[in-house]
Amino acid sequence: MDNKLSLELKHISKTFPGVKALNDVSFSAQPGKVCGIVGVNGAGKSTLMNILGGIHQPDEGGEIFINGEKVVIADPKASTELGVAFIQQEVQAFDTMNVYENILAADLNKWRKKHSLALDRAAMKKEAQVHLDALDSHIDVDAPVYTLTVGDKQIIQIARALSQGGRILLFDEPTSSLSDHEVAMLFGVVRRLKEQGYIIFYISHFLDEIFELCDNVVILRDGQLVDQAEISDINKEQLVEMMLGYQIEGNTHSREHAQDEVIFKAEHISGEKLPRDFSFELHKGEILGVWGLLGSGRSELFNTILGIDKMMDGKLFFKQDGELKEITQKDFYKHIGYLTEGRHYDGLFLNMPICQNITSSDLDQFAAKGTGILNPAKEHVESRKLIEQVGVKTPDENVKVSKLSGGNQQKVIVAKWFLKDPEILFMDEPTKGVDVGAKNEIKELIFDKAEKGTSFVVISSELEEIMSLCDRIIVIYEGRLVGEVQKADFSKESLMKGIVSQEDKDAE
Amino acid sequence: MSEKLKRFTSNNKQLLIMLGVIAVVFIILSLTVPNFSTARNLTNLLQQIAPIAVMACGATYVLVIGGMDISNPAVMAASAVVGVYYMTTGGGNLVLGTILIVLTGTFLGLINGFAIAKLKMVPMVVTLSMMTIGTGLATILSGTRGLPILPASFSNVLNKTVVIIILLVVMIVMDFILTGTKFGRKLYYIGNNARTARISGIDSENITMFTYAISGMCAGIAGVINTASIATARANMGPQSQILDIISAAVIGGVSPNGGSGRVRDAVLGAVLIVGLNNVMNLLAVSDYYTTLIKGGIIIGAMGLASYRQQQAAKRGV
Amino acid sequence: MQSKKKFDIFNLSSYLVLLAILVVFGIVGNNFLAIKSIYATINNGTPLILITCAVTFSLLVGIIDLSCAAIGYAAGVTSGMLMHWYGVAFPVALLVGIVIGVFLGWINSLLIVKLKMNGMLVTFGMMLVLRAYGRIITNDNTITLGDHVKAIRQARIAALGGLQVTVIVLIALAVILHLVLKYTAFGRRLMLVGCDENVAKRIGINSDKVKTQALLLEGLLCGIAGSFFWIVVEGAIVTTGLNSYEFLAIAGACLGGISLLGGRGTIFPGAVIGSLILLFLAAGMANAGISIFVTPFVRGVIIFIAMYIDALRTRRMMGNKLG
Repeated sequence: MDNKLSLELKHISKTFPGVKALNDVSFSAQPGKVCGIVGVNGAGKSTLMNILGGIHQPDEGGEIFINGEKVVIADPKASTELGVAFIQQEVQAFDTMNVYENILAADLNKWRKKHSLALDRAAMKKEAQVHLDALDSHIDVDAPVYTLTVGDKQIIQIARALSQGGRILLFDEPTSSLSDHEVAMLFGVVRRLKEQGYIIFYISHFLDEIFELCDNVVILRDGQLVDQAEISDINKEQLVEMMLGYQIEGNTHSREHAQDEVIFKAEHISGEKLPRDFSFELHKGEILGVWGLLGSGRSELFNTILGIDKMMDGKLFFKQDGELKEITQKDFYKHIGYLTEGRHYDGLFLNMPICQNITSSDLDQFAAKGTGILNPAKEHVESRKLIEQVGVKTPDENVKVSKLSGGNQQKVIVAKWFLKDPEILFMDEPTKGVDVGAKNEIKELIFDKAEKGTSFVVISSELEEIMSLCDRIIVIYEGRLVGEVQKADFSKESLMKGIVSQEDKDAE
Repeated sequence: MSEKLKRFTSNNKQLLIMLGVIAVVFIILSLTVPNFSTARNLTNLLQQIAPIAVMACGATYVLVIGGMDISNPAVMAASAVVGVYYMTTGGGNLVLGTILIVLTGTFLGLINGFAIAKLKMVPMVVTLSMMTIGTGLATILSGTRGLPILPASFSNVLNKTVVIIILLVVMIVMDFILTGTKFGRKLYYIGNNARTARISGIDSENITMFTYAISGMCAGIAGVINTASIATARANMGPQSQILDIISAAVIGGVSPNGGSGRVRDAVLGAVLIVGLNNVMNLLAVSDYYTTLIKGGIIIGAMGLASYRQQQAAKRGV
Repeated sequence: MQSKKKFDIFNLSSYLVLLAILVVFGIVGNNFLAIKSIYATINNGTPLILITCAVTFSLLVGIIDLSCAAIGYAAGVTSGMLMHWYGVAFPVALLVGIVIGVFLGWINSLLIVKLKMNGMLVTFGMMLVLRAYGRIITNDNTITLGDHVKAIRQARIAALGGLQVTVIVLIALAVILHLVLKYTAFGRRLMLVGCDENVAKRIGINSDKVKTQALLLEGLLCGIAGSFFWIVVEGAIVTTGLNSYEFLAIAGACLGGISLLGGRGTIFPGAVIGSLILLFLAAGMANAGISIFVTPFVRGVIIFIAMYIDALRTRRMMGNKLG
C-alpha cells in the first residue's frame, strides 16, 4: 500500500430544492484509521456518501482531494476508478452464482485467457482466493452464494471492493442484519484492513460498534459537521448529545392522559430473526412509542405482529365485548390500520386517484351487503371529507396520487386509515420524508384521533418527535424489550439507558 | 353542464376513441367494400366476434391483476369437447351439457389460479402447461373420428341472436363487476401494487385464484358459443394462436399489459376491431397470410402504444 | 466455508426423468432402444434441441421470447426458397438464413430493450408476422428441396453405427454453446444480469448491452436451427414447419432447470436434456402405440409437475423472497 493515500474534503455543501442537505463540511481521513460517521436520520450521512460515490455533485466551492490531488467524482464509475468502494447494508450479491464469480463480477473482460475467449477460471479463483485470504476468510471460492450466511456475503462484498482496487472503503451500516458472531468476524476483517493501511469509513447507528471499532468519529447534525473527535476523548453520552444537539423538553403537548383500559396485549412475540420474545400492552386511546436504533427490529416487530412476516412464537390478545381474548393475526388485521415506512413501496396505489386510495382500507363501507356493489357517490363524499380533515392539498379527489408531493401523499395514507377508523393504528415512521409543516399537521391528527379513543403504536427514529407525540415509550434493542419510559420521565438519557446498559452487557 | 360533459369525456376517453375508430372504419368499409354492410354479413361478423370478445373479457380481468393466461383457447376447446362428449357419446341432457361446458372451463381456470396464487408458480408457465393439457384433453376425448353432430335443437336455441345477447350480457355484467363492485376494485388494487393491496388488508391470494377461474369460465362460455355455431366440438376449434387475438383485443382496448388499468367494454371493442379486420380481409379476398401479417403488426403497434402510454404516465407522475 | 457439495436431488432430476422415460419405453415399447431408432429420434429432434439452446440465452436474461421458432422458420423458408428459385448453393443459402436470424434478433432487441415493450407479447406478435411471411413467400405450398440438400441429408458415419452428420453438427454446436455460457465473460455476464439486473447495473455492467447480445445470439441460433437443421431433416419447406416449437423449447428449457425468471440454467444438461426428455417422450409414446392424441396431454402434465418442482427449488434457494 503506498504511503501517500489520503482523503480530504473541503467545504462540501449540497443544496437540494428547499433543503440544505450538507452545509460546509470539511474533514480528512488517514490511512490505517477507522473513521466513524454518526448522525441521526437526515443528518446528511447519505448525501455525503452519495457525493463520494459520484451520485451527487457537491455545490460550487466544495473540493475533494484524494492522495493530495484535487479530484472531481463525476459519476459512480469515476468513484470506483479513484479507489472508493462501498460496502452496503443490503448485501449486493448474485445468489445463484459462485463465490469467485461474485467477487470478480465487475470486470470480467480482465480475466480472458490470452488468444482465447474463455475465462481463465483458475486465475480467477486464485485472485478471489487472494482477496479472501487478505480478509482471513475461509469461504470456499467455489461455493454457490445462496448457501452462505449473510455475514459471508458481506465478506464477499468486501472482497469485491478490494478486487476493484478499492482503497477507500465506506461501510454503510454493515452489521444491521448480522448475528453477533458474524459481527465479530466482520470487525476482525475491518481491523485487518486497517492494519494494511486502507482508509475506512464506518457508518453505524450502533454506538457501541463505533466505540469498539473506530479511532475517530465525525459527527453530523442537520447537514453540518458538529465535531471530528478522537474516540478516546469522548464518551457515549457526549456523542449522543452531539448527535441530537438539543435538550429535549418533555411533555410539550397537554392532553388528557390515556385511559387505563388495556385494549391489546402481545405476549412473547418472536419472528424468524427479530423480534425475540417481545411482550407489551396497549391502552385505549394511548399513543405508544416504539423506540430503537435502526436495525433493532422495530419494523420487524410490526410485521411479525400483523402477520406480514412469519410469527414463530407468541400470542395476541384483543379486547372484544369487554373481555381480553386471544385473537388470530388474520382477525386482528380487521381491527387495525398499518401505515408502513415505504410510502411508494407498499403504502399507495400511485396510479389511482386519491379517492380510491383512501377507500381501499375499508371498501365494505361503500359496498352493498351481499352484492358488493359500490356506491361511488358515497366514496367521493367520504373521501372529500377526509381530504379536508387531514388537509391534503389537491384540486379534487380524482387526482392521481403520483402527482402529489411527498407530504400530501403521506396525508393520503393517513386519511386512508382514518377512513377505516380502526381501534388500533400501527405507524412506522409516520412523518418520514415529510416537510416540517406537514409533520406537525400529521402529529395534530394523531392527537385528535387518540382523544377520540383510537390507540396508536408509533415507530419514529426522531427522538424529539417520539417524545412529543407519545404517552409512553417502549425501547427495543436487538429485537428485545429493554426499557419502558413513562411520559413524566421522558428524556434522551432515560431512553438511551436501556440501550447503553444492554450494549455494556453485550460487551462483557 | 359543460363541466359534466368534460368529466364524462375524460373518464371515457378510451371508449370514445374506440367508438370513433370503429365508426370511421365502419363507414369507410360500408362505402368501399362490397357486401360489408349487408345484414347477413354483419350478423355473421357479430357471431365471429362473440367467442373472442367473451374470452377478451376474461383476459381483461387477468391482465388487470397483472397476470397472464395463455391457456384460454385450449381451455375453450377442452371444455367444449368435454360437454359435447357428454351430450353425444355420453347421451347426456343438452342443458346439463351446456352447463358442463362452462363448469369445465371454470374448473380448469381454477386449477391455473390455484397453481399461481397458492403454489406461487409463474403464470406464464402454468397457463402454458394448461394449454397443452387442455389441447391434449380435447384431442383424447374427440378421438380420431371426431365427435358426432349435436341435435339441431342445440344450435337452434343458441342461434345468432342468442349468441349476441350472451355476449352483451357477459360484457355488461363483467364490466359492471370490474368497475362497480368491491371485487372488481380489488383487482385494480392488486394490479396497481400488490404489496399495498396486502397491507390494506386485501386477500390477494384468493382473489387471484378466482380471477383465473373467471378467465376459465369465459373460455367455457366461448366454448358454448363455438359449439353452437359448428353444432359439435373439435380439438382444433381453439388454435393456440387465437390467444393473440384475445390479448391484442384487450391491449388495443387500452388494457395495460402490466396490470392495474383497463375496462371490459373497451376490450370487447378491441375484439370488434381485430375480428372485424379478419372479416374485411376475407371479404376482400386477402389471403389468410396477409391477415396474420397485419394482425402481428397491429399487436406490436399496440404494445408500442402501451409502453408509450406508460412512459408518458411515468413522466407526468414524477 | 460450509456446505461444499451437498447431495442435491434437484440437480439430478432431469437425468432421472430422461432415464425413467428410456427405461419405461424400453420395456413397453417395440425395439425402442435400438441404436437406429435412438439416432432417428435425435436427428428429427435437432431443430428443437438447438432452438431450446437458443431460448436458453434469452431466458437467462429474463426475456421470454415466443418468436424463436418463427425466426427459425422465417430463416429456413428464406434459405430454402433461395435454393428452390435460384438454385443457390446450400452453404450460401444457409449463410443468408443465419444473417436473417441475427437481423430478427436485432429487431426484437430494438423493441424489447430499447423501446422497453412487453417482451412476451411483442415476440408473440413477431411470431405471427414471421409465420405469415413464410406462408406468403411459399404461397402456402410444401416445397421439396430434393437434390439441394440430399447429400447432407444422407450423410452418415458408418463407424458410429450410421449416425447422421446433422447430429454431429448439433453436438459440436451444443458443445461450443456450453463452453461459451460456462467459460466466457459473455456467458458470465448473462448470468449476472439475469440473476439481479439492479445489482449488475450498480457494479457497472451495461445490462442493456448484455440483453441485446443475448437476443442477437438467440437469433443467430434460431437462424441455424431453421435454415440448417429443419430443412435438412425435412428435406422440404413445410407450411407447418416448427409449429409450436416455441412452446416446446420453453417447456424443454423448464424441464432442464432453466429459470423463467432469469439467471439460472445451463446448455448441458439443462437445455439439451430438457429437450431430449420431450423428444423421447413423444417418440416413446408413438413407439408404444399410444395414441398421438394423448401425447400433448401427458406432456402438459409433465411440464406442470416439473415447474412445480422448480418453484419449490427456487423458493428453497431464495428463501421466501420471491413468494
